[in-house]
Amino acid sequence: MAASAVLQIQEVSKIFEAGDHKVQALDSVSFDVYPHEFLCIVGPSGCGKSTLLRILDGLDYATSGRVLFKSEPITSPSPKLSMIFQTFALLPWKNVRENIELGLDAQGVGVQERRERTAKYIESVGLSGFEGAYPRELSGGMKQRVGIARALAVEPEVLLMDEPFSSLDELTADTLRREVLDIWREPTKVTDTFIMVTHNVHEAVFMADRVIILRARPGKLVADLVIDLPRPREKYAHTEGFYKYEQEIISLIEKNSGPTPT
Amino acid sequence: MLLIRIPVFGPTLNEIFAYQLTAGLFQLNWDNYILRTMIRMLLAYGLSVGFALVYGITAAISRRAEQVLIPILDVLQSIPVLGYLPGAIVVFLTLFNGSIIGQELASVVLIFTGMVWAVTFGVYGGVKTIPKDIVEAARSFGVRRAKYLRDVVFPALYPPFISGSILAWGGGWYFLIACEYLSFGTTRPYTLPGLGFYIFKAALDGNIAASLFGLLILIAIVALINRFVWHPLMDHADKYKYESTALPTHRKSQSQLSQWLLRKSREVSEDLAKVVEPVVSLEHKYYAHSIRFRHVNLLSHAHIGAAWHKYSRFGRIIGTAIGILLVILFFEVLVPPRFPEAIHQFMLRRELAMIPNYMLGSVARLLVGYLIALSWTLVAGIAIARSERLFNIMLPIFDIAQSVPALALFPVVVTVVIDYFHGSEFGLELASTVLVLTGMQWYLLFNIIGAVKAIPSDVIEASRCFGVRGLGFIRNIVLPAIVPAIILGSIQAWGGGWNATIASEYIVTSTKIYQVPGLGYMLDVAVAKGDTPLVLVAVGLMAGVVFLMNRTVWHYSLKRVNKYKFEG
Repeated sequence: MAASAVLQIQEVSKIFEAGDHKVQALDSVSFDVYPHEFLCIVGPSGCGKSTLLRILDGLDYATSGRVLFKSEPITSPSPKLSMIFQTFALLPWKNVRENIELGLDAQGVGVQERRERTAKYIESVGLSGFEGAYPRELSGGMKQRVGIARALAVEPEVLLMDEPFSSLDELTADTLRREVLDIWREPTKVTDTFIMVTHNVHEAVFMADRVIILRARPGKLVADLVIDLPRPREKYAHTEGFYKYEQEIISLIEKNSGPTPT
Repeated sequence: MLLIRIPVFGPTLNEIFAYQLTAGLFQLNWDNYILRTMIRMLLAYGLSVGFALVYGITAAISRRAEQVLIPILDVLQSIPVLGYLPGAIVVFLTLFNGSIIGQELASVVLIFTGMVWAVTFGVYGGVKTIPKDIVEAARSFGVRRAKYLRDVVFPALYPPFISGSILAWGGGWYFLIACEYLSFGTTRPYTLPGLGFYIFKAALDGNIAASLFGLLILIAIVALINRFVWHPLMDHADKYKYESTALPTHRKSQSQLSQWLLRKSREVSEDLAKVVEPVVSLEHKYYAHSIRFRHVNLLSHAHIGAAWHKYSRFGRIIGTAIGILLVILFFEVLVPPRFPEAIHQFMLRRELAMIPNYMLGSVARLLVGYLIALSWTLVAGIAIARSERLFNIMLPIFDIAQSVPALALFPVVVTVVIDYFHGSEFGLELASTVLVLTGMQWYLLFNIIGAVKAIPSDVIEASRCFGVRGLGFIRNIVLPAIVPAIILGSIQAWGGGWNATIASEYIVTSTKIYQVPGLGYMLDVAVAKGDTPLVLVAVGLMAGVVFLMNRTVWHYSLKRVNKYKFEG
């Protein structure tokens, strides 16, 4: 099984140095991610989950340990993995279409193909008719749709998401969660491994095949839990089974949290 | 090969000290040049603080007062400050019967006009940008009047007040030097003894070494005050800041110079190191902060630019009218009571026909200076902001360089450049353009560095994630992100440039008068001849051009690039 893993996280540690004192953000974290998987990483704030995601994308580096993508170490950002940001990270001076083209332009994709691909993803996230709009004219939910389309347009194999719904209101977030799941389940897609960082336990149980639970200070893996619930999960969200998974994750987090922060 | 013939680089230190004016630098009494220079600065700063607090807070708190006060401020600050000089001198000399007090007060008032806008903008912007939830919380808990001032307003304006003060203090040096030069450089019989006077006089007397020595002392004073007064204040003020998004992160790192200083002082003795350490340990914070603070100040300027359109037409017209009236009133005092007659005589002047030429000359010089400044600061600014290493090496250097009043370099630049070209037309133009450039470039450089540093980290991460690199990164991310800062920097740069034309288009030395045709030249000549109507026209024209450019070119571009701003 290990041979077929898309991503292998091996003994990853990260130490931040701020002046004289050092902060250990991640302490020897290891796990594998398999194709077609929807993986969630949950944990309290300060557990290093966002740092871990950045290391996976090559935006940050591990102090020790390594990350392999299809057996090759990740050292810098690659088009094989792309990211959706919590705060959207859209360029205010580019309109929707231009923002989505950002990665394609950087890869040197020809104009014709760029247009076609952008159009395709604009449609798939429901932004048709908004191609010429600027980010400031869009609601939060629409902005994140642009973020999703931008990440999908480069047709990565792995999609990384850093708390993608936490800046949105709950109703919008709920709609977008379903849409992301629909995209993930599409049979013809190129992008089929999804990794999402969240602190929302309900969201993790709703979306993930597997949940990685981290504890804080230092960020350490405490559990690797398979969510064995049928999909789509809308109708299970209020069942005993769903609730039990939520309780298990919450108690794992609480058990492993240190003294209550003041 | 560039072989610059510097006339007097020979003299030894002994000769510098023997230079007759040196006495004024070091003697221990009220004639001490350094002391007199410092007193002028402190008085002007004190006045500025008083004015800024009252005016800024009133404008920011009262909606009704704001409608009028801000347009007035906008008109007054459009006038190149040096334009106030002749008026101020005449008014105060008249008031004090030509005594030395009148002359000193005139210079203090001029330095005040050079300082006050930055502090006022800082105060106004600081109060205006108090987060809405804080204002509402204060109202909901019944915090009012004196308590509101004490607990909400003063703490909030502290950081922008300090940053405005730092800019003001730097600007103050510029105008101080201008006062001491211009009062000397014209044919008027009075002088304003001080450090700037010494630098200029020494250069004119052909003693370049003594002039450079004075310059060195000036730089040392500027640097020491920055280090021991402004750096600690800035550090302290930082605690009062509301957390805001999109501000540059600061990393703790020291410049090579500081590390070297600390190492060397350790080698000498541990005691010395103990003295040096706290000083250099402030530094790493300071440079990151200073960039951040400049950015905050920039934002309050932007705020005012944006706010202009919010005021009712009535407020705008009344405010502008009052502003213009104040200016005319100020100069009216200069014009003899026979005002209509003066105007009649004036209309017959042949200088009037030259005005288009003068205008063209000044604008061309400013444009060349601006383009050169913009090109080098763009490259340098982006490089410095993007590289931690360059930031640590170059920022301390530029920080000192920009705090040296550009005017203080004039004597040396003029002597060297003009002399190199044997006083040819080209040499004159070159010297004048270089001087204008020095008055413009720092606004652009620091605004650019600040803006690059303020690009949100998620945007930088997103571009890295999607493989946007190298030139694509500069073109797609950095340039659009800094356009607003470039425009605001340009407004300040042109303001500084106009001031520089006054000092750089007409230079009197003991042997010769150097002049290039321009509005600054026109103003200087008018002042030298005591021709008040012409002074009024020159100042009015300058202010008009500055005001028009602000209202049209710059504010139009600001509105256009509004979409370039990151949402906070």
